[in-house]
Amino acid sequence: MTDPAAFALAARGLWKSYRMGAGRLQVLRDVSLALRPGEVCALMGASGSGKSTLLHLLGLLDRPDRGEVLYHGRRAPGSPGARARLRARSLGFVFQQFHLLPELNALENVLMPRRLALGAAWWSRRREERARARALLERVGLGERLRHRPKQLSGGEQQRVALARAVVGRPAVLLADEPTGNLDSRTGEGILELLLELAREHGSAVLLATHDATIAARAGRLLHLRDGCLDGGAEGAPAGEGAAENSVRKTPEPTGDEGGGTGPGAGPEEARS
Amino acid sequence: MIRLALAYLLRRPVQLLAVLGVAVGLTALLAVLSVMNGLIAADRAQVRGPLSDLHLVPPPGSGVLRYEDYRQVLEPLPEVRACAPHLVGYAVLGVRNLSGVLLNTPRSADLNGVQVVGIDPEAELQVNDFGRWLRDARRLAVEDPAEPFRMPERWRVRRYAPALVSDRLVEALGLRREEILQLGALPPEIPPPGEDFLPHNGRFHLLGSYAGSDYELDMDRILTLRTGRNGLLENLLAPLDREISDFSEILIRLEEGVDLEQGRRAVLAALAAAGLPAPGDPDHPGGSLETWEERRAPYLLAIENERRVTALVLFFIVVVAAFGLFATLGALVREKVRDLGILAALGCSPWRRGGLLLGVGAAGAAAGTALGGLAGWWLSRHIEAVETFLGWFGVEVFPEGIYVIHHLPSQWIPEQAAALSAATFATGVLFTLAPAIHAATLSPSTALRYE
Ligand SMILES: Nc1ncnc2c1ncn2[C@@H]1O[C@H](COP(=O)(O)OP(=O)(O)O)[C@@H](O)[C@H]1O
Ligand SMILES: [Mg+2]
Repeated sequence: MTDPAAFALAARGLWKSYRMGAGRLQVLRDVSLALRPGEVCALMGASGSGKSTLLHLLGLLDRPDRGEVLYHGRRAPGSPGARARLRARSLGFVFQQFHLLPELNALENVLMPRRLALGAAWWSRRREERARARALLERVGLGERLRHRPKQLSGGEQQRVALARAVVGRPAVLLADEPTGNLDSRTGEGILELLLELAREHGSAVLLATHDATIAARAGRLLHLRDGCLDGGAEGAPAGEGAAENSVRKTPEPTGDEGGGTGPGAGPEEARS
Repeated sequence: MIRLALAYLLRRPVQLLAVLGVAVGLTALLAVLSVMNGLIAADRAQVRGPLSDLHLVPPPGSGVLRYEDYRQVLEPLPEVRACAPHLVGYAVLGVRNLSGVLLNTPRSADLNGVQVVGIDPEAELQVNDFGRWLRDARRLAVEDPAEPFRMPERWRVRRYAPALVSDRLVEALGLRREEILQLGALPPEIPPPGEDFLPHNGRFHLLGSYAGSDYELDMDRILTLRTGRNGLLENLLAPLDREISDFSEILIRLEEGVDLEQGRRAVLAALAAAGLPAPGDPDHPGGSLETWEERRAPYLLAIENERRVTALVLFFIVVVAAFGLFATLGALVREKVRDLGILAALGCSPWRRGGLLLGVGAAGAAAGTALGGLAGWWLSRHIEAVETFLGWFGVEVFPEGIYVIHHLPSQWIPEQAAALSAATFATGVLFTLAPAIHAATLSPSTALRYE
């Protein structure tokens, strides 16, 4: 048996349904999974299979009908304020639509999670935080674009800002919801590469939702969401058998390696968020 | 977060319009109220007229009282600046006609029941507006307002008492200077059964007139000297009776800054200590020590009430304007749902999300309040500009024939302005509450999926 605290993130028996007219749409059925610190895991599934739903539950943006989410072996808190604090401290999000705040420039966007996490302490730490954010933006190749608004940036550039924003707080877990879904394949490759590198540099576990098999292939471990059930999720789950070792992260190939040769658009292209 | 709040506030012109609406509402409110304040101040002065701060009427039936006894107690008080006695008698005033003095024609209003008030002019000048009225007299101004009862040299031979009446009475009766007024005075006490209740005939020389404050009272009042060779006491009242008090009422002017109630307490305490009859004395019921505001309470309450109602009505402008803030911020939240979801994902708590919206609203309300407060202050200072402006359109604000005042008065009361500005700001923030609560309680997951 593995100690539950050994997992950065775990979920046990998650159920989630949505009201659909008179009936209910059951999206998740008894989903369990666990992520070790630093592990990179792909969450595969067709569009509409519930990937985003699961990520929202894991990211404490929504609540399951049943089941629980654990961070470092501890149950996620119930109060909205405490959940927000936990998000600020332990989680990074990357979204398909980049989701930068349009009123703020690149630097301010990257700093926003830090402001929220630090609260009043921000004022004493803002110099070093700014320096760090600037360094991160340089790291993602946007050193010259600090003051640019999202509108002035291309899709790929926006997503790079979003990547910097996601890792700026050194989160234990990075939840990426089709991070390359809105980008052309070349740009997407670069983003994926960068995401994996940044996660490694910052020691974050990654759960990468995608319907694209070539992208999923870059992860150390694959989970499939089908009919609301997760295949492979139980591996390494706190209650699971010793199979956890199988899913130890397979270090991603170094940059420059062109991953799978399959072209873009290989996956089903249904425009659903 | 403040940057974000400001960015949200400046995002759409309609939001600035809402802010401007609040500003205009507050400007109108403050400007109109400052004019009302000015009107009320003018009215109060008008209403106060012949009154002083306090009016002491000793209890009736406390024997024969001497003003001098009271003066010696009252004048040394630190709260009291000056006091003056009034001796009041009642009389019918007749006016000459061809056949003599007409006292009784049912068809004529010339026959007047009047109050004859004996005053000490020097003391009187210290306690109320008497001096100003003498200077402002339009009909028969006296030569020297400081000595209103001084007879011109050439009159000295005549022995009649000097009298002053209001401009209005001069107009109504067509009186002329030096005219002799004939009074049939009633005795101050009803005589015992068997004795006749006879009026006593008194004559007065009309010395001049005073402006007065256009009240009924001015029509029915003749001022004369209280005591002395030509005084009311000796000439008109004393011959009718054995012995009477030499005053009916004492007017008391308080020192600057002494509150009316404080003055009243001090006067009562001093009179009690001196053993002088005063209201509140258990052995002698009756009498009164009233403030001038109490004497004019119905009128003062009426205009005060008008101001309150006006403020309330005008505040609705502010409320409507604040509603604009509510509507635009509600729209802002709907428009910014996704961004609020993003903020939530980044670790923004519901409290802070609500706070962000509240910040936007508060910034808008503060801007509107500051703008409106400044504009209102400016307008109240430059109210003549408004008058001139209205003049261009042929609007005469105070037509000569109707009003005593001829210019828009305006009085800026800082406390009032501060209270109204605070109320405006609070209303603005209050109207932001609903959008703020919406922003706080929306589900981050739904918000992120929002298109
Ligand atoms: N708030 C909601 N209300 C109703 N149905 C929803 C809601 N959110 C998602 N769904 C439905 O749940 C299913 C799973 O959605 P989602 O998790 O977004 O799938 P994926 O991310 O894998 O494309 C879809 O059929 C979607 O229409
Ligand atoms: Mg999705």
